[in-house]
Amino acid sequence: MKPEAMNKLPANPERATLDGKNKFLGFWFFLGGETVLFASLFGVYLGLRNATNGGVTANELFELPLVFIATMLLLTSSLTSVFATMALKTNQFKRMIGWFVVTGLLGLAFLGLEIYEFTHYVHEYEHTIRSSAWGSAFYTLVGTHGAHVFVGISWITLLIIRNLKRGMDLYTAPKFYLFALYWHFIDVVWIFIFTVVYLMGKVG
Amino acid sequence: MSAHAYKKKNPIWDWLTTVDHKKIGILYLASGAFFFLIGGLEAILLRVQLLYPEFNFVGAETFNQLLTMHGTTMIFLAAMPLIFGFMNAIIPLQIGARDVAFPFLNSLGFWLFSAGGILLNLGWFMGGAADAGWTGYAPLSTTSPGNGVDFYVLGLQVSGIGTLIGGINFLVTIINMRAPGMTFMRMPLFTWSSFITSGLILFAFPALTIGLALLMFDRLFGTQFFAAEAGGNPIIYEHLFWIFGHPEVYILVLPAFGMFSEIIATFARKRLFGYSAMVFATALIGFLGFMVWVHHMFTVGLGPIANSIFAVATMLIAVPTGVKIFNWLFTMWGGKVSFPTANLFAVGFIPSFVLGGMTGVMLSVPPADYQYHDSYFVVAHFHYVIVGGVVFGLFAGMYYWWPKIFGTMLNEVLGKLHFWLFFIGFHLTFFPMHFLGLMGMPRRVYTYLSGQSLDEANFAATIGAFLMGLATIIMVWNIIQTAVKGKKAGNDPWDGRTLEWAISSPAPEYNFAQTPLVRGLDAWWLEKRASNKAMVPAEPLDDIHMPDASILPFLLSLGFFIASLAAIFANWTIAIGGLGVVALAMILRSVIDYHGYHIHKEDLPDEGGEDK
Amino acid sequence: MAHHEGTETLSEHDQSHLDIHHKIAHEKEFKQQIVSFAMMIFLTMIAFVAVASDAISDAFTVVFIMILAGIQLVFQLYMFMHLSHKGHQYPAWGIFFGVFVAATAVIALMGMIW
Repeated sequence: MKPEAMNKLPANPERATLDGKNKFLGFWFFLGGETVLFASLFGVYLGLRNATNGGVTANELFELPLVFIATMLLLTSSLTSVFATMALKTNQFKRMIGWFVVTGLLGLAFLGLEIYEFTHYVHEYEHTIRSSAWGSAFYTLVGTHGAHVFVGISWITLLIIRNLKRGMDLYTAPKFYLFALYWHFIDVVWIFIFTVVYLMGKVG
Repeated sequence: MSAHAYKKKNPIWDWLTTVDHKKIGILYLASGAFFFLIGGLEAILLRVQLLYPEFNFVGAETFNQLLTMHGTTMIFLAAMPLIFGFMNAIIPLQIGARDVAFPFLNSLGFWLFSAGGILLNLGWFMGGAADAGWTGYAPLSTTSPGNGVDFYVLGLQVSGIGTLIGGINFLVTIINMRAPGMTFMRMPLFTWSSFITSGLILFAFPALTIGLALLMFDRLFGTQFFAAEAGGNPIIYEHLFWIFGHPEVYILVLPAFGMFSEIIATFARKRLFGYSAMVFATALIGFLGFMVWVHHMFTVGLGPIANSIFAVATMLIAVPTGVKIFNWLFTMWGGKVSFPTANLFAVGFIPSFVLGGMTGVMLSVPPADYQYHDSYFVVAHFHYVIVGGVVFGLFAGMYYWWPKIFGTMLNEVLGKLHFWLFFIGFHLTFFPMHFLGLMGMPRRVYTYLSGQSLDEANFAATIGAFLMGLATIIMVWNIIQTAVKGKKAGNDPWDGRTLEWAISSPAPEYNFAQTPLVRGLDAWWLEKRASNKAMVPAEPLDDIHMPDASILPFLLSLGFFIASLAAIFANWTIAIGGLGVVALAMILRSVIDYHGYHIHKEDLPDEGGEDK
Repeated sequence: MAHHEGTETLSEHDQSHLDIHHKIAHEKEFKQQIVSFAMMIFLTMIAFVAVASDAISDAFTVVFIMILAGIQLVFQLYMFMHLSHKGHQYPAWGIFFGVFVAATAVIALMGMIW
């Protein structure tokens, strides 16, 4: 981007127009609703976590190294998306796109790991969404998070393709900013998934 | 692009693509009224079945379906959209805004709701409607044969997404779009209560989304969430349903409270008594609404500690509600009270609702609840709250805001007939039910035996239902008459207090040619007292920015509709195709820029012409 | 009032003056973000180690890792999502009421079933 362009955007370009302000606030409220959505799933999971129906248990199933790698991927992607937001606020469009591409790729790696994990459980342990109430709760909670990651990757891909030539302005800034918020939220949910599902599953 | 605004539009295309909050409000009101008539018809059929002991009018199976669909239709497809209709039609006008925060999402919310509503009712024509009660408790709902419950689950899911979108839209609209000077503590009570209601929607509906999703998984994909034999737990469904379900009661009744607050103040020609106490009470009811849901589950056996905590929280709600009742009474006290139909409904609401509130406090005592539970006493209680509160509010709001929404006056003679028939029919139907319940008649059962002193009260209840039906026919007749040859309404037929009465009836497309400056509570009343003929503008006359119409909300909802219908019949190819339509609509929305267009200031009608 | 916030234009002098401040602020923020990230990685590692090792009792481990997750939540919200910045009062209301309802729901589904 041209360096002089820096002077043309206000300090918080994502909230400089009424439209941007509305999107910003509406999206935060949406995340508030998503908190309840995921909490309901966490509650269901906690209520059913010992309902293994005589099948494999959490302690036998989970492998911490795999979960640790997945966690590192997602935490790092949260950092790269912060870098992207900072580039957004200083109007460095190319740098922002670069960090968002890294974010998306890390998300993709996370998703690949999760798909591997699920197929592993189904084929090696016959642990499926139907085998027990705990299985149903596990796949629904972790799968809903995975679906959110998938939506996030599709979203940022579309945003980047659509706006690559357009550059940064008060119309595009809110769009990218909202994606970054969404991505952090997904990361927050994952923090609780690795704690409540995997680590507590290992504790017993 | 401004020529766009004046191009003659095809009316059907216009209504399908509109993003104007006033038109979306009318769409909500019309479809809500349609479902209200269907739900009312279902209620009449239920009452005919119960006219005599061991009567065989519709039979047990149809009775179960009618019962389920009556409750579901009235709550989700009648009361919710009617409230959203009024919120859409009135709130932007009350806060001095040109539009809502998200016009596109507003339209999407409506179309999702209507797709869900149609889906729910399709069950009637495709092998039987849902029959597991409006609560859809597992395992009754997970084991119910046929597709009825699938229609319930997916229909509610789709319309629920629409409701959630609407809730977020109004939260942001009220926070960000208020006119200069319209501080929070100058907002009209209807706007305030709708604000709180939108918050409740945001935090309550996700729990329903999950409850319904798990129900769907159990029915369609063979998961074990609620199957006790595989370690599942049906109590989880009850919790999820009521974590949503109890706030839902307040979602419905708070906007009605807001309407009463405005109507009573307007027709008492007095400022609302205790405005800030009213605001605080509304917020408190909303907050406490999240901490009482277990009172629907007292007989589940969660133990004395859980039951006691939720009993006390439930009793607490009576306090802010009582504050409101007294404030309405004090507003009328010493006022010059007049009684057009709108105020008749508002004043008729007070004793009716108080009765429902009293039985609510009775039900909040767990040991007593063990006696009342699942009896007609509960049926009497919640109809006193929901009909006496919400339906009276919607009728009052209809007579009050009709001129602003449609520009014509409803007939007052027919209106008063409507009120009296409905009021008498309502009490005749539901008052005897208290005694039926205390005598042990269980709810949701299609018949009863003679010789148990249940005959007379049931007969009376059915006659009352006929009276309410007659009242509704008169209301429909009134609406048709008004649509054909209604008297034209002025800008301010009731000598109103709030901003919506400061502009023409119906409001122009852009609401306010110049954003008004708000100088206090009851902004329009203040200006009138200062002998001003119009609001003081807060900005110079300028071009007005308008949002673009779009067919995408309709397409997106159609995609969800197709996908859901196909999923019910396990046709996964078509289901994925439907979701493909959804994805396509979302991608188009993301790729196409919507910059809107301008109405030029030269094209605005002369301001002076507005004053009649 | 809500219509006009943030739309005022600054004179060029003010603008360049602001930019210097912004640059300093951004460098500071950059460092803060790195530190937050390092803290989060560290907390995650502690949680995994606490579970992997048998040194501490199970009941304590559960409480301990939940607290660690709570700290990470605060880091994400306040450092990465800028919840403490100006203009975030309503978002904070939205998130915290959501967390309140969420906590109620989790407690109920965990503890109030049989």
